[in-house]
Amino acid sequence: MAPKTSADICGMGHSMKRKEDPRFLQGKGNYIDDIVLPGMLWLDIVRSPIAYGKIKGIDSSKALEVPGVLAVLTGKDLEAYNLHWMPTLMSDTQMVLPTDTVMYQAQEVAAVIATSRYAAADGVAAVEVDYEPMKPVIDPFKALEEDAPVLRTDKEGQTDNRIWHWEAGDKEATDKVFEEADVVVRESMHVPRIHVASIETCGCVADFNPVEGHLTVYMTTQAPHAIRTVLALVAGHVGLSEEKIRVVSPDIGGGFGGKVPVYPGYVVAIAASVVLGKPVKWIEDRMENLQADSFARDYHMDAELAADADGKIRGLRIKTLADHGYSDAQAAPSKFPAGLFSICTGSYDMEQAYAEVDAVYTNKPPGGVAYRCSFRVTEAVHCMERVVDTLAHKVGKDPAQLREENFIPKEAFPYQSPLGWEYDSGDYQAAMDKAREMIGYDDLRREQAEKRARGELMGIGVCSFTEVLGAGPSKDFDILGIKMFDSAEVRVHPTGKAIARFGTKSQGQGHETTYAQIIAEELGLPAAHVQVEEGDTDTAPYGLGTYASRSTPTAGAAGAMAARQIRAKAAKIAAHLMEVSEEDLDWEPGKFSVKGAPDRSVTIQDCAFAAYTNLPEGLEPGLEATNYYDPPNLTFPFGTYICVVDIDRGTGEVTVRRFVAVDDCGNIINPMIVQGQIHGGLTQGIGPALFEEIPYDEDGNNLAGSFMDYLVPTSMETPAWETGHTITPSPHHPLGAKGVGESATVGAPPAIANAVVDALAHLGVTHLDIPITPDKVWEVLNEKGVAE
Amino acid sequence: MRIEEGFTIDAPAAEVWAILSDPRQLSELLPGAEITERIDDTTWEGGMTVKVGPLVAAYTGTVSFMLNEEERSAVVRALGQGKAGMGTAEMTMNSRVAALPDGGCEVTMDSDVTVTGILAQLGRGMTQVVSRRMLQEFVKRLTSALENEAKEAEP
Repeated sequence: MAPKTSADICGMGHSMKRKEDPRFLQGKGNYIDDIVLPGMLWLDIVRSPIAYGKIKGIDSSKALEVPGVLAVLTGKDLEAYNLHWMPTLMSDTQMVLPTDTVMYQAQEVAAVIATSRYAAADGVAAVEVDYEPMKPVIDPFKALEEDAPVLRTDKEGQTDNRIWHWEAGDKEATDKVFEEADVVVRESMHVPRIHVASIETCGCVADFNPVEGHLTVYMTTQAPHAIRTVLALVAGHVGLSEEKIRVVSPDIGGGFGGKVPVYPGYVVAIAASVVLGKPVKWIEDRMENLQADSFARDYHMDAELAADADGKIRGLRIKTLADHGYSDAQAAPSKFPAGLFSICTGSYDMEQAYAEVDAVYTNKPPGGVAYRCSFRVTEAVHCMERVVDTLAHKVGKDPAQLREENFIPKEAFPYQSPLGWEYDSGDYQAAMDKAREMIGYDDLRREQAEKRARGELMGIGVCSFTEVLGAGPSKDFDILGIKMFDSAEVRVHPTGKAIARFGTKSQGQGHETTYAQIIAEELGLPAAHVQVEEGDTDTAPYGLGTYASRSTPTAGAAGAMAARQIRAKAAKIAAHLMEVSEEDLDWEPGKFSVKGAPDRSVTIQDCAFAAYTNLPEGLEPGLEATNYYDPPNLTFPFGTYICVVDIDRGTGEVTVRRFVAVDDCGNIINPMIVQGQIHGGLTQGIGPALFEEIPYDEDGNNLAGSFMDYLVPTSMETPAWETGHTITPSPHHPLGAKGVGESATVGAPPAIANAVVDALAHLGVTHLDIPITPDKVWEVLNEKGVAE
Repeated sequence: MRIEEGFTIDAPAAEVWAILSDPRQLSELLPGAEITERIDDTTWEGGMTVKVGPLVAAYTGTVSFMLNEEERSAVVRALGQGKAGMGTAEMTMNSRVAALPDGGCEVTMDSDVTVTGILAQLGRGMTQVVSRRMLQEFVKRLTSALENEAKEAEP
């Protein structure tokens, strides 16, 4: 689609170079660890080496002898201020620092405050903690057994390790469909605990001014406004008041959902600053980050599909066990404990579906952040896309063909899913056709048949996902009661330049560019002249932040609406300047002209100057607008991914030879940025598919607590991604756009898993859990007698 | 974690057993081990330092020896608390010295080791290698100790 604006204006559809990149590329970004305040102290954390046990004593005396160490804070110290516990975003509770028990390895036990990072670390090494280890509960299935010890004895009325039970759909009607079905297939799978592993770890600088009672927190957070309100709510009793709290989220080196929750380290740093009256900096090191927070997934799923003999899907049934670790500290909308898992029916039309999730406590760190995922959509899509392949193999149909035969037809949109979603728009066959053509699907199947005859292992994997993102409409979506709208405030200066502030917070998504392009599209001001700001709660309008691909669907929409309000006022000014009535004006990006006399025109810049210098009578001076956008629905982007893998029969190594990703995110704001999002997402999809997992041994030791063992993909493992797109605009979004940042993380793992299983299907293999590591494949090859 | 190790040595079983059943001699031969104090008949206080890759893990704690002189077998239990937040280590080892027909003997050592904390996290995959290397060093020291004894015994 050709852009509506010129390259000078650079509105939607232009691949404008990212405005933020010059400072990142020149090392001039301003990240949390770049912030240095006068008199600043350092905080470092003593962490538990054991997964579960009693604290018999904490001896700080040797630590206090270390030169530069000023204080050691323990749970007992925080207890004096009633700050030793905190609520989680899911209304559970979590220790800030323990007073008597540790519940997981790497849990915060005490904090050392010192005059330098080195002294703080030396102090941590000198704190002696006497533990009495207890046998931890690690396996979530065992956690639900009757004789399992109850872990959360601190919670009144908690008699077992179950956190909650959630279900969606009509169980009886679904069971009936299964009873009547010709074919039922079933697959059990685990989407394991993984880590966001963003390039920047978590940290903050807390700066409490005891004279004014003013707290400024510079913090790695994706949701600065929500954090400010939470701080006011939980620390009101120690004198913090929301008008005196300022949260600043500076440049962020990747968030991916890991920087949504509040971790104990932030709270301890704030408490330390309040107690000491000095700025306190806390920055996690890599191992702390990989061991203590930012964990995602960990869903054990049993999925069943009911179908007719020819493979027409009739029903879906999923039973899930969710391992949340020590506390339900995930970041999901309040009414959605299992996130948006009920998107699990995916791109397929069916009569009935029923999904249930049981969440359990174990002695692992709190998990469940929505890692580049709109709340459990990754788990849901993986589950569905895997079991669809199982059905295809069972009824003897090509997996692409079986998908096509079950797609929700494009005439059916808006489509009501059996689990209650109203899909806004879709054309699944178009994305499938394009992906098949780009990769040369039929030729690949022929090649596979020839290779199989020669004993070579090659697989083709297909995934046709549907996402649900842009949370969300206020009738359903809130976090701790705060509705999940988002906001924009646009102010046009007299010289026709503008500043636009948003309630979201970019962590690398490129908002400074794309939001400017949205304003440019609507106002015709060059995007280069629109300065975008986010992340400072003192200046930005209130919003719920950036995660779940919600920025374009919510704040982006708010930006467009605010710009339209400005354009409406500019029209009044233009009419005044040209002495015609508003009805007589034509608009093209950047210019009002008189109908029938196109040479009589004023620019938007002329209108901006007049807004401060030459106003019609009765019109308020200035040219600005604020919009709080409550989306009428979520957006449902989709796509088809197809990949080809080759398997080494000697080593079990899987090589992704080709990967075609066709995405449809509605109207595109910046094609280059969308492509970049897809590339990054695909890379974060191949990671969990083939390499990444945080496993624990039976004693609760994290076995991938450093980059030695937690294998993120490098350029060596990453194939040359081939991307394409179709465009099916969202009917309800002001710009017809949908979210896109997470599609590839969601769609890539099942495509790769399906390809590996496809390569082994003729040997009777129906499933392999991700990550599909060489040793897993090697074992299968040996079991089937085909290893070389 | 189970670690099964064994070696043969060209020395009479009785002599090897005499060394292996004496905690003080044993600790001198085992790299990184130290015995500081005797608590009772079977229990000693001591320490153990292990180097695994970039990590040096130092533990202090107790070790107890249950000896069966007739069978020349021992059950050794060690319990250590790591320094500087290193976590804990527990070991139960069944060892046995068996005479071989050629006059030498075979020593077997089956251990069950539980480690928590950073060593368990980072040491995975290296533990077997490290324990084998420690054993090699131990056998080397044991052999030279036996040779020295033999030399001293010569007139």
